[in-house]
Amino acid sequence: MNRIKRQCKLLRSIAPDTSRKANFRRMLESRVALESSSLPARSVYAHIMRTMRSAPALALAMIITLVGSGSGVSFAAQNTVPGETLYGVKLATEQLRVAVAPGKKAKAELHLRFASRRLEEIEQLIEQNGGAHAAVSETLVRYEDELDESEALATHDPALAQAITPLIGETTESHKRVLRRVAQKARAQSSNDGLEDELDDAYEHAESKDDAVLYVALAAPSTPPAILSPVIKEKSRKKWESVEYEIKRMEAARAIPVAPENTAVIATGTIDAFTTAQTRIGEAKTRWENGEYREALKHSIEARELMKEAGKKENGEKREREREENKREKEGRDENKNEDFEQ
Amino acid sequence: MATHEKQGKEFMALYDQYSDSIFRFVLFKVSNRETAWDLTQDCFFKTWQHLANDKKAITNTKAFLYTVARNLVIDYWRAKEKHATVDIEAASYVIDDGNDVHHEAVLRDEARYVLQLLKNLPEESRDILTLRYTDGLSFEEIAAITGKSNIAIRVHTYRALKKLKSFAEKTNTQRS
Repeated sequence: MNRIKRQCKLLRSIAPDTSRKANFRRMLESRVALESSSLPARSVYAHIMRTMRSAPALALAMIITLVGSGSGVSFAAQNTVPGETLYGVKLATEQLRVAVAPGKKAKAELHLRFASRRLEEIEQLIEQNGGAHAAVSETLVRYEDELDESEALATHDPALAQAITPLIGETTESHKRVLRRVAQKARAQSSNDGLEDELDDAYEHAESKDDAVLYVALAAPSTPPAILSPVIKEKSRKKWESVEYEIKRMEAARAIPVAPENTAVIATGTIDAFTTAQTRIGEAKTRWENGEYREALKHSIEARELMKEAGKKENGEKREREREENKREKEGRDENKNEDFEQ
Repeated sequence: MATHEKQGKEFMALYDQYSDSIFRFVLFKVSNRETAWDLTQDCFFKTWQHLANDKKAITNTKAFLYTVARNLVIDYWRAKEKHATVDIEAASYVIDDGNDVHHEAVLRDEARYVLQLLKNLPEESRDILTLRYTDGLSFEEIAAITGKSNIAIRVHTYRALKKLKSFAEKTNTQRS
């Protein structure tokens, strides 16, 4: 479903006419300036924040009520998995915990922790009952949502992005390991048609959120490269190194001589994507060496996407060829059977 | 005086941050760029009036802006006695981002394709998906705009995504 989400994101390019927008801005600004002179001395944000102050207190009261009146209902719900009666209570408790968390960093950390929980649930679902596809699929969406919420908190806040970069990196790395393990388990089950693709989407989602937060962290205008945290520089380096490694591996795989009948193994459409990926990763390396970490990361992300695109196309064509071969073999066998029967 | 200026600046920052999102939200409902821009302007005027007159406390400014926009669209359609549809050609016009005509054309095609897919969904699902994935609103904010619970929005989003995915698969099969 990541593709659909990315496509929805593209609609951001739809915007009002820039000159009209600027004209209205001038008009609005003069009206605001004129009218605000007659207002009581009060900040819009301060006004909003004052009314918001009661929200955490209310949420805290709800948690106390939920835990207190439920005689351990909330506690019992903590070990539930999707589909169980108290699972909704578990999710509601998590939301309340986010609501009362002090500050954006604490909220982002909680979202990451809850994302890890969703993965634990998915693993449990697969182990317990073969993983009812709908439940696993729904929990995967919830997992991606938790990562989205965590990233969204840092989107306009480079300082926060810098603060959570190490944690999000570590967490998503562990998530990717779990997702690989779960994919292996799902592969062994015949009833999970399409689930592998969804797990692969979730893997890419984890990778992209890590990249997105790092990208924001590198955007902090008050932090020139010279004083960037070594962790962030290191992450930026590891990114291009890992993509470069993958590209070389793919290149090596392509260099293996193939049987004449399989010369179409490298899909023609993928040659451009793969060559561009090689160029991009070269640029990423140069940029990083020049201390342009953000640009380096941008090129690394592009290179990885191009490489994945080439890989997917090749795999798709390979699968298609295998299907065709199997079909031909089956037809051949059927013909032989018919001949034997006629004789 | 400094506080007054700060107040005005904060409101203008809201305009800079959300004017594009509100315009899109309205455009997907009225399918006319002129009308969408008129309603977007009204939305900001009304929000400023509300803040300036301090009638009632606003707990979530972003949700408030979208709610005002939605009410303006409802009033607009009530006056027209019609229902909202998506005119793909009108909506898919993409902002000129420089001299890259090819990039603009590709974006426009992609936007048209997504809008075509979204057209298959009920208006509410369309709203939720674009608020979530186009404008990046949190579930909490969408819940505040639509008046539904956070969990209901999450479930609705999941179902709408699944539907959209199946429409996309059907479209791709037909194309190939």
